Amino acid sequence: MRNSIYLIRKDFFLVRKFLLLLIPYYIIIGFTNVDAYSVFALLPAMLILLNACAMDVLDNNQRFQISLPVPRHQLVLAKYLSLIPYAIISLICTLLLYLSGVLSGQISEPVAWRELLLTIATFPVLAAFYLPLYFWLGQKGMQIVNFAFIMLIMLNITATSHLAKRFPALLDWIHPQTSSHILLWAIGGVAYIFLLYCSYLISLRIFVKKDI
Amino acid sequence: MSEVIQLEGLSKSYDRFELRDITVGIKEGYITGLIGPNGAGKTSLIQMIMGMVYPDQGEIQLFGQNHLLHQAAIKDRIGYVSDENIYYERLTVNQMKRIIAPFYSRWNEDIYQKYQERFKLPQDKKIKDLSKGMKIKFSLAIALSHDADLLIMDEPTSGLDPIFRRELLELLSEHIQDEKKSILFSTHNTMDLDRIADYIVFINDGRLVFNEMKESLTEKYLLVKGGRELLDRDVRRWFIGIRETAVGFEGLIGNRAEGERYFKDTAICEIPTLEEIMYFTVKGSEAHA
Amino acid sequence: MNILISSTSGEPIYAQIAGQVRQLILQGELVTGMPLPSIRQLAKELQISVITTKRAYEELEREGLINSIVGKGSFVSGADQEFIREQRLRIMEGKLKELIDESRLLGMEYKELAEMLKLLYEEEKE
Repeated sequence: MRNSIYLIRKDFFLVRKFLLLLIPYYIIIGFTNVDAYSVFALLPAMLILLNACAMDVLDNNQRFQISLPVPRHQLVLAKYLSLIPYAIISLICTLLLYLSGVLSGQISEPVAWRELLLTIATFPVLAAFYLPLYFWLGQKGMQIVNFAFIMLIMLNITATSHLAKRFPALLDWIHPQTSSHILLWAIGGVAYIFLLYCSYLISLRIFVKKDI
Repeated sequence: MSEVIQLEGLSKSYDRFELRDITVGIKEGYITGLIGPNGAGKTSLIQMIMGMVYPDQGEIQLFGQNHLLHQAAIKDRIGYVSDENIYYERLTVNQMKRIIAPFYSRWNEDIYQKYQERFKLPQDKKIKDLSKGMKIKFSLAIALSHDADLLIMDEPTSGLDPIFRRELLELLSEHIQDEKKSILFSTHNTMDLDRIADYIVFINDGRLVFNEMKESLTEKYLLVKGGRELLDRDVRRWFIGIRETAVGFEGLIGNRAEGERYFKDTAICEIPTLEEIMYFTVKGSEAHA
Repeated sequence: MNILISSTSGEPIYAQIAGQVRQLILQGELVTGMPLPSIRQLAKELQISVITTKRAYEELEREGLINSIVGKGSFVSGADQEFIREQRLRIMEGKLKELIDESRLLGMEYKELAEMLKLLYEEEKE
């Protein structure tokens, strides 16, 4: 566990400058789309992850990680655990955005927690697809994958708002009023964790036996 | 005498190159030089020892432990200097050090500071802006600051000026003042090893040529220089490798006593340097191939 | 104590070290009980390999000039000058025997050999 913390700390060292870019990102959104704030919780988290991963495979940096007194499976685990702080950063930033929206009088309703959390919850799902690719491809082909994922996120954002307009039923699902949905949520939750766990196992299988 | 690294029947094939059945023991408490021409497989071998690359066949033991089962504990005791920069180029020297330090259980900040001063490492410079020599000095400072029992260095002297090269050799003999500490370093500059190495592991074209005490090499090999009329078919066969010119020949013989007896009166007999042993062995193997 | 090694002399380094320490003992510069630098220390000072130094010390030990005590290091042994001289004489005898063998191979008479020795001895003196 201690090693994971040090590894995540390392990732933060690497993305430190990148984090600063989030400030203009949120300022622009603050001026343009503040009422749809919840949608923008996904992009920063994903971008931080992509950036941290890209920095890690640059040059011979994976060799550096292998030279550390850390077993390989912990290198994989740390990347999955790092999703938590990234999600939290994204959440906090979005809440700040909401707050500025309230203060400036552009938003009057309460925080849309459910939408917000659902948006953030899509981040680990995307990461679950991304990380095995990252461990598999390493330095080669990473740029293409990163590009593809950024496009995917963009599409995701516009797609959700489009879908929401066309299928109001979807919104009903997001705003369930009845308690009968609890079962649905439970199944969803289990499937969600299962997906992440499978992704972790696949990454592990790929990376533990890989020549760096 | 115990062995700090044991390689047992290591094989690995790459696209254009193959390491074949390497079995070597590296002795604890000594400096071992890994020599061979470029592309002989020195770096591949070191990467296998470091657990970066997996052998297709064979087993690796470090400190008597299987290197796959005890990755973390083993690497905690290894100081590694890579032939290429492996650190994050965009970070500064100091940031990089701060990332590395907490991973090692025996990290000693005072010692690091001492080396930083001694090597004049610029703390706030980005790693990508360091000269090749500085990069090596930095990784050396890291490798020496966590009380490593084994230093593994891949071509550490390439890119160093002669002054620091001497200093490095001194650092190495300082390191093994403690009889429990060992050093393995690869180089194609055998001059470094002629002086301080205790053992020499020589690989050529993915195969082990020998693993010998350097001291006994001088008793085993003989360098003969003489006129070409001395060479007939049978005599040629004695030589590991021969270089013939218009004005004579020089060649390496693997059986010193026999060679001396035969050539004592007719040719010049010398103790070969490591470089000469390497040169003629490679030359000979190319001729036979 | 000075030990100077030459990498161009052609004489093996271990023999150079052994020879110089022997000289120092015979000259009385190193006396009984005096500690010698540890093997690893000397290797470091001379920038040569540990095994080379070890070999030099082993040679000196065999000649009875030094004693090595595990964990404490090496010391000039208690051998007196007479004993050392005898040792040296025995080594010399061995070399002379080699010389005689060689002269026989060349078919030299004793007189011729003695003549040659005398000549060389005088030459060296000048």
